[in-house]
Amino acid sequence: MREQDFQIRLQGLAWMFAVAFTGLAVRLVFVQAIHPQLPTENDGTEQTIVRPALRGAILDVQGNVLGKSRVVYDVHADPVVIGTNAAVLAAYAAPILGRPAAELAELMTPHPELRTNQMTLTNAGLVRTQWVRRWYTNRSVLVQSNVEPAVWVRYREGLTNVLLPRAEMLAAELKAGQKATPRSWERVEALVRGEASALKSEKQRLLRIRRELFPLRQQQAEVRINGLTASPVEQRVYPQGYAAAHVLGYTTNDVARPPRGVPVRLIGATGIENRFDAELRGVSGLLETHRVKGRELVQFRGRDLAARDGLNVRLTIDSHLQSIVEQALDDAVEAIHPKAITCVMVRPRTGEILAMANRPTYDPNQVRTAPVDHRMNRAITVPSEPGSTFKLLTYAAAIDLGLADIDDLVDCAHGVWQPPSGRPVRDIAGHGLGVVSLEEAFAKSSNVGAARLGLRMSPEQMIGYMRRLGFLQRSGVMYANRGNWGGEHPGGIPDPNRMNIERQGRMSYGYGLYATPLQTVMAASAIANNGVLMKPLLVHSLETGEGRVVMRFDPTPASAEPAVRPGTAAQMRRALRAVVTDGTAKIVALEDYEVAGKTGTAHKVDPATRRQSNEKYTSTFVGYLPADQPEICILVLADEPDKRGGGSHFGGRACGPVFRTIAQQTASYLAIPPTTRTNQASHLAENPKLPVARAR
Amino acid sequence: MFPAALNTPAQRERWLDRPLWVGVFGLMLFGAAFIFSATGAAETARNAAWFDYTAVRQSMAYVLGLGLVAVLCLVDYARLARWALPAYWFSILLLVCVYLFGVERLGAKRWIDLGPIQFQPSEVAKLAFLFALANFLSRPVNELASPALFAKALGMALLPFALIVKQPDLGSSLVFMPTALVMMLVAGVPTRFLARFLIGSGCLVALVLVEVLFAPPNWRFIQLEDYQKRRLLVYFNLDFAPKNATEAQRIAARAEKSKNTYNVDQAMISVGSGGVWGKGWRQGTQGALGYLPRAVAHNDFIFSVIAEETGFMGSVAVLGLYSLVLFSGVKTASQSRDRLGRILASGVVTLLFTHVFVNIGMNIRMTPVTGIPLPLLSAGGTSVVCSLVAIGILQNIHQNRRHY
Repeated sequence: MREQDFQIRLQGLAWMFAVAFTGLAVRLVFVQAIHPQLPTENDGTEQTIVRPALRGAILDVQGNVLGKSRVVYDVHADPVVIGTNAAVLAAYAAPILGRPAAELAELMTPHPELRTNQMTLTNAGLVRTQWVRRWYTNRSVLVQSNVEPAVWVRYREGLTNVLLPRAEMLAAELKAGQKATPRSWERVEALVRGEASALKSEKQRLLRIRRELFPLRQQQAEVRINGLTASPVEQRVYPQGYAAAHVLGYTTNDVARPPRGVPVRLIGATGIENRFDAELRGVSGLLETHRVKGRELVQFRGRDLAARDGLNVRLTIDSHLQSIVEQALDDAVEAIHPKAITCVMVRPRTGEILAMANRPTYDPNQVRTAPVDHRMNRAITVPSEPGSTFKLLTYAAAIDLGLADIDDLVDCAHGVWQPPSGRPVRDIAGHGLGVVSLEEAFAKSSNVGAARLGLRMSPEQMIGYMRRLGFLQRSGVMYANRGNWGGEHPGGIPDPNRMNIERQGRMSYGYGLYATPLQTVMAASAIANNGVLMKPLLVHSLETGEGRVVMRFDPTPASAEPAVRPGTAAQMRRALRAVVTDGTAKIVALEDYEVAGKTGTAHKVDPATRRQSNEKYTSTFVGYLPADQPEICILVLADEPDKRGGGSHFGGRACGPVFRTIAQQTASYLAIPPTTRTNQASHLAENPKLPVARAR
Repeated sequence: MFPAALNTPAQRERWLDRPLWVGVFGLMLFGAAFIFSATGAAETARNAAWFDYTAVRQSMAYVLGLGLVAVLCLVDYARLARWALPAYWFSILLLVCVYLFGVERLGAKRWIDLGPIQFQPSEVAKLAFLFALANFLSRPVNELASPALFAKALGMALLPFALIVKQPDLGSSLVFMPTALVMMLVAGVPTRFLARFLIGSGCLVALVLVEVLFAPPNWRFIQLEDYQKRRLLVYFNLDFAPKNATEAQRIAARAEKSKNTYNVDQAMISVGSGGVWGKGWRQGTQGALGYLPRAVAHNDFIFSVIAEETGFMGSVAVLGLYSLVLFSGVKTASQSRDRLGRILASGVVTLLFTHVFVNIGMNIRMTPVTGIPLPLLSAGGTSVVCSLVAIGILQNIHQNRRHY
C-alpha cells in the first residue's frame, strides 16, 4: 500500500469521527434545546410541611387562663423497624410511657397479614378490577397518646444507653472469640454507643470491631430514631374545669382522620371557641421542600414561613366572680333540686358580663362524656315565660308613656279581676290586694295591678317598649357573624299579629311571651343604669401572646337614645327597692348594702296537657346593688325548683338565697362601699384605700 | 494528512502531544467533578470516609493511570510490542479465569476479586488485543492480501469476543469488531475482504435481530440473555408481549417495559432538563432525587449528569475534549514512523471512539443501552486505567514518531 493510500484511509477515519460526533451534537441540540424532555411538574418529592400555629388562649378579665392549648405527643411504633428488638425496647419504654411492658411489646411486634384488595387497572380506556392478594404490615401503631413533652424527652435521652439484642449478641461473639475481659465488654458497649474515645487504644483490633459494628450501629440508630416516633398533637385544656364552660365552649378536630403527616387542627365548636375561632386559630406557617425516602433534601428548600400563633381572647368574665357563682349554683342544686338553674352577673354601667353559669353543666376537658343538653348555654339559648319579673317592663312602659306614676293608686280587686274580655286575672291565692299604690302593687307582685296597667297602653306600645329594653331580638352577645348568632335565642311572642285584650293582659305580668335570662337581666340593668340599655359584653379585648392589645371591645349603649327616661328609671328603682324592703323579696336583704330587685314565679306549660301546670314553675330573681348606685346586677333563674324537699317554688324563696350569697360575696370581692349608714364607717376603716368600687 | 503542521521546527521537536493531554486533563477534571456531583451527596449522608468517596477513588485511578503512562512512555512502543503476544494470551487466560471464578454482580460475571480491589479483565483484554493485532498486522503489505491471514486476524478478534460475550457483556465484546476492522483497513488489508466481512456480519446481525424481535418464542436457536433481548426491544420500541398474549400478560409486559425503559427515560429527562446552560454544578435534581438510579448515575450514565448540570454547552464541551483526544490520535497515526505505530494508534483511537459514541448515544437514545463506560468520565478504576494506558500508547507513538 502506498503512503498516499494510507493517508486517505486515515482521512476517511477522521471524517467518520467527525460525522459521528456531529451527529451526536445535532442530537444534543434536539434533546437539549429544541425538544427537551422535561420532568413532570410534580415529581412526587415536593412536600409542603405545615408548621402548625398554636391556638390562642381564653383569659378572664384579670388575665387568668380559662382555656389554652398545649402540645403533647402521640407516640407511634413502627413494628417493621423495631423487629426483634421489641422486648428490649418495650421493657425500657414501659415505665416511662406508663404502660405494661407486655402490652407494649405486643404492639411493637409486626403482625403481617395477607389481605385481598380490589385493584383497578386501566388499559387503553378499558377499566377492569381484579382481586389482588398482598402482604400488609402496619407501620404505625399508636402506643400512647397525650404524652407529656418532658416524658418524651426522658424516653429519648435514656434511649442512648439501651443495648438492643443484636448488639448484645455481637458483643457476646466477640467475647467468645477473643480473650474476654470485662474491659472489652465495656468497650463494645461504648462502641455501640459510638463513643470515639474507646477507639484510641488497641487500634488494630478495635478497627476490626468497628468494621463489624458499623452496620449494626446504623441499624441501632434506625431503631432508636424510627422505632418509636412522637407526633405533636395540640391539646386544649381548661384549667378551671367547668367554670364558665358554657361561655368558653369547646373544640373539635376539623377532620376526623387527617391524612398521614398532616397535623390535626382544632376548630371551635361552640361558645367563644367557636365565635372567635378565626382569631384564636392563628395562621399556620409552611415549609416547602423536597423529600426522598424520608430524607429532606435541604438544598431544594423553598419558602419557609413561621407560624403566627392565635390571638388570646380576654373575656369580661372574672374567674373569681365566676367561681362564686358556680359555687352558689352547686349549693342551690343541692338545696332546691331544680331541673336547671342559670345565673348571669352584669355590670349595669357597661353591660359587661362578669359571670355566667348554668346547671346542668359539663367539663370542657371531657366533652365527649357530657350529654348534649348539658352543653347548652341556657342563659342565652333557652327562653322561657318570664312571669312577674316582666312586670318591670309593664310598669316602666306605663310610667314612661305618662300613663301612670309610681305613687298612683290602683285597685287590685282582691286578687281577681275580670278584664273587658277573656278570662279573669288572678293573683296567687291569699295574696290579693285592695286599693294600693303602684309601688306596693309592684312590690307585692300583683298580677291584677300589672294587668290593669298593661291594658292602659296599646299592644304596639308594649311591644315597642319590649324592643327598647332588648326583648324580642338577639343582643349579639356571642358576636354575631354572617347570620350566626352563636345559638342566641331572640325570645318572642307567639303569633304577634293576633293580639287581644286577654293576651295583652297576660303579657303584662309575663305570660304569653318568651325571654332569655340574658334579656331579663339586661332589661333590669337598663333600669339600674338610668334607663340606658347597654349591649351585653362578653369579650374585653383581643391580645397577642405577648399581651399587646389588638382590638378592644368598648361598652356601647344598645341604641342612641335611652330605653326609658331617667325619671322613669328613678321611679322604677324605687319600686324595685320596695320589693326587697317590704315586698316579695325581703329574704335577699343584705346587712351592708341596699339591694333592689324583682321576683318572678311562672307556671310552666305542661307539654302533655298544654295548660299551665300547678306543679312546675320557673322561678326567677333579678336584682342589683347598691340600690341607688348600682354596681352589679344579678339574675338567678331556676327551672322547676323542687318545693317538696323543704324548698319553695316562689322566685324570692327559691332564688333569693342564691342571689343573696352571690351578691354578698361579690360586693365584698369588688370592694363596693357599704351603703347602709351603719356600716359605712367600718368599711372605710377596713379598706382605707378602697373608697370607691373597683371600676372597669 | 498533516504534513504542513509537521514542518515547523518547534512542533517537530515537541515530544509531548499537547492537544492530546489538554483533552485528557479536561476530561479528568470533568470526571472527578461530576462523579462527586452524582455521588457526593449520598456519600456525605452516610458519613463515608474521605477515601471511600467515589470521586476520590476515581482521582486515585487517574493518578495510578498517569503513573503507568509515565512508565510506559520510557520504553519505545516497538519494544513493547514484542510482548504483545504473551500479553494477549495472558489476557485470554484472565478471561477464562473470569469464566471460572469471577465475581458475579447483577447476573454477570465480569470481575476478578483481588481482595481490596476488583478489576474487569475485559478492559485489559482490549489493550492486549490492540497490541497483538497491531503486531500481527504490521507485516509487509503484500502478505495481508492472503485470505488465511485475514482469517487469522479475525480469529484474534473473535477469541476475546466470544469469551466476553459469554460473561455476558455483549456491549464490551462488540467493541472489538470496529476496532479490528479499522486496524485492518489502516494496515492495508484489501478492502474487498473487509467489505465481504461487513456484508456477511451485517446479514448475520439482521438475522439475529429478526429472530429476536419477531420470531415465535419456541424458535430460539440464537440464545441471547433475557436482558439483552429486552434492551433490543426497548431500543426498537417494540411491545414486550407476544401477539397472542392474554390481557394480563399484556399489562405485565407493559409494566416490564416501562421498568426497562426507566433508566433511559430518566436519562433523557436529565439531558433535556439541562437545557442550554445547565442547572449548575451539584444543582441537578435527577440524580440527587434518585430518579436517575444511583447505581448507574456515576458510571454508565455520567454523561446525563453532566448534560443536566452543564447543559448543551457542557455536553458539547465534553464532545470537544474527546475530539481533541481523537483527532490528535489520528494525527499521531498519520505521523508515526512505522506501520506498527499507525495501526496501533488508529486502533486506540477507534477503541476510544466506539466507547464514546455508544455511551453518549445511549444517554440520548441513539444507541441501545449497553454497559460500555465513557472513557475517563465513568467511575470505574479498571476502565480509567486502561483508557489512560491506551492514551499513553498514543503519546508513546507520538514521542517516537521520528527515526533516530
